[in-house]
Amino acid sequence: MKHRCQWALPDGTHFPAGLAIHGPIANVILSRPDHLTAKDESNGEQPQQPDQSAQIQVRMLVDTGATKTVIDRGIAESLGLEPIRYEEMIGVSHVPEDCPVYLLCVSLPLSDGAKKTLFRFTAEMVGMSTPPTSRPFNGLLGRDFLSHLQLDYRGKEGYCDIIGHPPDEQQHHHGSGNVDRKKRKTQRQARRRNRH
Amino acid sequence: MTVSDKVLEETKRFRVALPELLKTYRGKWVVFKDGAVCSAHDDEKGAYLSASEKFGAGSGYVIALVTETRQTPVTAAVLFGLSHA
Repeated sequence: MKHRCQWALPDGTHFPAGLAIHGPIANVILSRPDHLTAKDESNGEQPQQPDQSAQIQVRMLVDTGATKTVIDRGIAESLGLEPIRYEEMIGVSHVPEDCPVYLLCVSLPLSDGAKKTLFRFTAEMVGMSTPPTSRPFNGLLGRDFLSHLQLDYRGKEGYCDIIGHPPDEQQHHHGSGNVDRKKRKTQRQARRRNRH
Repeated sequence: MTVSDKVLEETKRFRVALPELLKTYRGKWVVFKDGAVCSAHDDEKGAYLSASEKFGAGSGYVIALVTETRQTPVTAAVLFGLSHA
């Protein structure tokens, strides 16, 4: 299953050159990791649905030159996150700067035809103060994030796919038939039982 | 003092303690608070869950992998000296 990064013109038509001009940008959903439980897996986990009010959708540039995933510090703060430590980062000033590291739940929408799922990770992100210049993304998806996924960059065709393989039993399917609806109902009932 | 300030201070204590910690905890994720290791874990999530349960929000603990640290360029582009562009 994949998350396609591509550019479109205002009328919605595909703009292949946008990939070379702006780069591959993914739409990801960030949320607090409060809902984590000890039984969740560390990769491709599918924990309980996070509180909708405590999540934010952001645009992240896929950057294979970035060791770590970084986001605008204001976004992490808007989620009410507390840093788990500080790390020294070197930015354009070339002066090392202590930056807060946050632990977040990152959800990447994946699709395969009509089948859709959210691939969810717990990931570290470094919060950085960014200059107030206009740019089409809120952060960089670095190699730490990409270590969970495959990247298929199609320069000629003008798109880049982020490919994930969530375990079958951990997928969220939407609109894919009665079997999935029954499965979701069973999962909901099991969660209710666990809560009581 | 804000939580972020507390975490920064604790991070500085962690860096000072790191050479000693490497002897015992190398490769482990630790919860570090008040200048000492509170618990050691095989993964980050275990450390996070332990710290959340034990200390709760606003207490200013550090969760870190015990390994040699280094400064990280935000992206490879900065190594090309974009600051001089």
